[in-house]
Amino acid sequence: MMKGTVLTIAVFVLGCLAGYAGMADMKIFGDTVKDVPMYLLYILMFLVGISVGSNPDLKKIVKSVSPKILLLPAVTVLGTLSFSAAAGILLSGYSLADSMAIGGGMGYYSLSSVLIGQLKEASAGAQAAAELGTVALLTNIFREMFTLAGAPFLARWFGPFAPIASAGATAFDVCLPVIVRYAGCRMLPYAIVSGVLCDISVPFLVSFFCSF
Amino acid sequence: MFYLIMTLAAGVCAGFAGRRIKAFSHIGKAVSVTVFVMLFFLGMEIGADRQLLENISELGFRALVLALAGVAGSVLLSMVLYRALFRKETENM
Repeated sequence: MMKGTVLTIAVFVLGCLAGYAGMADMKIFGDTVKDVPMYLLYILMFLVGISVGSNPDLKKIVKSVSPKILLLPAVTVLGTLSFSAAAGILLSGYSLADSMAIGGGMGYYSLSSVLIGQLKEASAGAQAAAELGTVALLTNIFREMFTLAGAPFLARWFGPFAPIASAGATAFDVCLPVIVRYAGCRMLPYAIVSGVLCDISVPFLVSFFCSF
Repeated sequence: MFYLIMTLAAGVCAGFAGRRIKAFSHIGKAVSVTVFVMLFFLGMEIGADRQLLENISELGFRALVLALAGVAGSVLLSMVLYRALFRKETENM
């Protein structure tokens, strides 16, 4: 596992321990502290926006990309959402939109989990929102781990696009080394374009499906 | 929800307008820090919720099913796409 994943789990577990120890009962701090995660959400969205807008590769990607290459991230998102919805039907208890919001994390576990945990709070209540956020975190971490471990088989059995699709938003960072190694160097531009576009679509997909 | 998307859009515009500002190339770190703080809060809510902790294995199972579904769906469609439109041209590369 990569350093980022370990760090994410560590911070999350630390938060769990703090909550278990009773630190979540922040009445002593008053109502202002209670709203901190919501303010953070807006700050986060603004920062994510800046990182998308100022991405030096954005222009390059838009220019160099043939329209055909865009089909890869499109089917990656489409396949993820449709099968997540189908899985949501099998797993009773989750609405279609909830399952698609979780799948819409596209492997970007840190962002999708905090977004879902915060966005669902108003409509589903704090408890259900925290549960969905946890499932989103685990789902998207599993997806990354599965891609890292399964890339050679995916590439051999389902073609060179398979590990890129499986990686989702992580195709241009964490999973890029295994993609290039097992699907070949010629897949590099496909992996970067698909990964960046999946990555950019995460905040839109998650907030869209959380609005139902 | 609407305000959130607007905030995101405002960020994209600000980022694009200031794409030559050096500090913006380190914005990823600010995103990470914010995400970590929020993850800590999310964890805190879960840790304080005894009922949720009792169900953690069930949540893990749900997550596993959803992860496999996401991988399966995207992989299958990508295979169809590759065979239909890309196989010939990339094999000559």
